[in-house]
Amino acid sequence: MSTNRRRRLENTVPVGAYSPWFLIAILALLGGLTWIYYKNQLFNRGTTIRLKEEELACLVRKNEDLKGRIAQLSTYAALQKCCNDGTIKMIKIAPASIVHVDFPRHAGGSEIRAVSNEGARR
Amino acid sequence: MNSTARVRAIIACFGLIGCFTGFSARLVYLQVDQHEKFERLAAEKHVKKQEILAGRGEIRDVNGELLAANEPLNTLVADGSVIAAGKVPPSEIAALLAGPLKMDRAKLLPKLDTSRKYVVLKRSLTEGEAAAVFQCLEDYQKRTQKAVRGIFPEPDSRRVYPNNEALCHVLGFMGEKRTQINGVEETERMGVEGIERSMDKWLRGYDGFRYIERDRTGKEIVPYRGQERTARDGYNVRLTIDMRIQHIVETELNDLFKQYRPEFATAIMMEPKTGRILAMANRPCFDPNDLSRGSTQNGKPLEIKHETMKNCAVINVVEPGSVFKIVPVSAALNDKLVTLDTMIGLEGGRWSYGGKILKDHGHCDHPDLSVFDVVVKSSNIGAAKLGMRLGEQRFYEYVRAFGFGERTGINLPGEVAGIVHSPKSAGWNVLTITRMPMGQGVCVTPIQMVAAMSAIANGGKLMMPQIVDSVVDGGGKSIVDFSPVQLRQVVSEDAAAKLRSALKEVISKRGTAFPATIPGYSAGGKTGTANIAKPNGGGYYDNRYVTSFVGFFPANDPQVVCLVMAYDPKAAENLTYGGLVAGPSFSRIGEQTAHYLNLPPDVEQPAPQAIAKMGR
Repeated sequence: MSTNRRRRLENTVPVGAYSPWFLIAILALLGGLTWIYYKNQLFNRGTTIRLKEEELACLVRKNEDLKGRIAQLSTYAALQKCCNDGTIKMIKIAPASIVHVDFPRHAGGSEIRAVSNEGARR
Repeated sequence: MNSTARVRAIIACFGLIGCFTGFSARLVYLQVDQHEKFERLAAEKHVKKQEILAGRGEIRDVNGELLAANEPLNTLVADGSVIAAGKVPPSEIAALLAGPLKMDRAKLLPKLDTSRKYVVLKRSLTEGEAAAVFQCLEDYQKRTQKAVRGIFPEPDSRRVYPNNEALCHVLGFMGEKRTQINGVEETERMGVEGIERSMDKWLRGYDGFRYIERDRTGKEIVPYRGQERTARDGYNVRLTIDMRIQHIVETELNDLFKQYRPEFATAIMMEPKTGRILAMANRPCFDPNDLSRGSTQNGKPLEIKHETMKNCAVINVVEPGSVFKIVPVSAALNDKLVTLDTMIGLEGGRWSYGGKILKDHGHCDHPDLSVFDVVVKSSNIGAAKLGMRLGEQRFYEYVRAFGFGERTGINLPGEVAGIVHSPKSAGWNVLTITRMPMGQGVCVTPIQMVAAMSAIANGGKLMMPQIVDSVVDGGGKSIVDFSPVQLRQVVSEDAAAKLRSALKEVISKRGTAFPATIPGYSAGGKTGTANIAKPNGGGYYDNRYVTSFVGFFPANDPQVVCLVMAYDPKAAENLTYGGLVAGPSFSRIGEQTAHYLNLPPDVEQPAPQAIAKMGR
C-alpha cells in the first residue's frame, strides 16, 4: 500500500455512519423551528383574538348606546316635541286609505293556560 | 495513593454527597412540599381573575318599545406607577386631560402624580366622552412622538329610562348595595322599586370570569387562558303595558292633577277578560333617570318625597266609597235575594240605625227605589239595606271573594292587602253592616277596585291582574310566559250581566256619572265619593274626599276597565264628586283608547254641543 493511498484512507469521513445523526439533527432543528413557528403563530392569533374581542365589545357597547338613544328620540314625548317644533309633521290619512286588519292583539291571551305566576301561589 | 490522600478523598466525597443531598432535599421541599404555595405566588404575579360583567336585561312594553335599557359608560382610571415610568410628565397629562374631562387641572394633577396603581380620574363618562379623551391622547402622541401610558378606561353602565317620568312607578329604579368582602368594598346594583325590583332575579344576569396571564407589558397572553365561565346576560322582561295607551292615560292624569291639585291621583286600565294591565299611572311622579326631578304643579317642581316614589295603585289604601256598592248589589242578585226591580225603602233619605243616622244625598229623596236605581242613583241606604239582607257573614264572604282584604298577586313590589274586618273581629261593630256596603269602614287599593269591577265586566270571573307578559332571552326565545289566571267565579254570569245593565245607566242623564260618557261608545261604571277619614279614628273630614270612577267599555262586551281616582282634589264643595272630577278623565281616556284599539263604535255619536257640555 502506497503512502498516498494510506493517507487518503486515514482522511476519509465516514459519512454513511454519521448520516443518521445528521438526519436526527436536521429533524430536531426542523422540529424546533416548526415548534417556534407555530408557537409564534399561536401568540399572533391570540393577539388577533384579543383585538377582535375588544372590537366586538366596543361594537356591542356602541350598539347599546345607540339603542338607548334611538329609544329616547322615539318616545311619544320626544316625537310630540319634534312635532311641536316643526321638525316632523303629521300627515292626515283619509279614512278610505286606512286598511283595518283584525288580528288578536295578544296571541293566545284569551285562553286559560297553566299558571306560571309566583303571585298565584301566594 | 497514600492513606492521607485517601482520607481526604473520602471526606471530599462525603462532603459533596452531603452538599448534593442538601440541595436535593431543598429542591424536593420546594417543589413537592411547598409546591402549592409557590404555584400560588407565581400565579398571583402573572395570573389574574378577570371578571366578565353580565348586562342587565331590558324592559319592553307589549309592542316591544324599550322602557328600560343600559347605557354603556366608562370609568377613567390611571396607573400612577406606569405614568411615573413613562416619558410624559404627569403635569403635561393633567393639562391634556383637563379639557375633555371638563375638570380642573389642579384637581387632576395629584391623581396622576402618585405611585398608586389604581386611581379613578372620572366616573360615568359616556362613550363619546371617553372617545374624546383617547383621541386627545392619540393626537398628542402623533404630535410629539411620545406615548401617554397608564390611562385606561374601565367599562361600566347606567340604567336609562327613555320615557323619563312615564310609567315611572311601574318600572321603578335601581339602587346600589355596598358590602365589605375581605376588606374590599363590593358594590351590587339591584332593583329598588317597581318591575326592576319584582323581576330583579330575571333581569340580573350572572357575571362570568376567566383566568388570564399577562406579559410584562400587562397585555393578556391569550393562549394561556385558564378556566373560564361565560357571563349570562339578564333576561328581558316584556310588560303587558301598551305605551300608546299609557301615554293617553298619563296625559289625562296630568290634566286632572293640574286642575284639581289632589294629594295623589291614580289611573289604571285593565283587560277584564285576561287581567292584563294596559296602563298604570300615578301623580305626583318622578324621573327614574334623575330621582331629584319630578312632577310640577303651577309650573313649579314638586318636592320629591319618599311617598312620590310609591306606586299608589298597589300600595295606598283608601275607603272606596260608592264604588264598593257593586259588591252588595251583585251579591244580593247572585243569591237571588232581590231582582233589579225589587223595591228598597229609603226611609225618606234619613235612616236611623244603631243609634246613628245614615243619609242619602239630595238625589235620593224618593220614598222607594228599585235595586236598579239604587245603583244608578248611588243610594247609601239602599246599599246598606242590601248588605243587611245578605247578612254579616255572607256579605263578608262576598267582599273577600271579590279580592278585597288580600293581595291581588300583581307582579309589583309592596302590594298591600287592604283592611277588611271580619264579623268576628273587634273592628266590626253594629254599624259596619250598614257602612261597609256603601264603601266605608273598609280600606282597599285602587288595583283591587279595578279587579273587582273587571270581575263584573267579565261575567263574574275574577282574574288576577298581570303586568308582566313574558320573560324572554336575548334571542327572543320565551323563558316564562305569564298566562291569564282566573282566580274564581265570584258571582254568576247572570248576576254580573244584570249589574252591568244598571252600571250602564249610571253613565246617563239619570245617573251620577253623565260626564263619563264616551262619545260613540256604550260604557258602564260606578262613581265613588268618600270622605277622607281623620287619623286615629277621629271621624271624617267634611270637605276632603276621595273621588273616583271605575268603568268599562263597550258596555255590551267589555274590553277595557278603567279607574280614575283623585285623593283630596281641590274643587268647589258642590263639585267634588267622583262623576265630576274623575268622570271626564275617564271619558277622554276611553274615547282615545277605543279609537286606538280600533273598537267599533256601538252608539250614535252625541252632537258636538253635548260633548262640549260634558267637559269640566
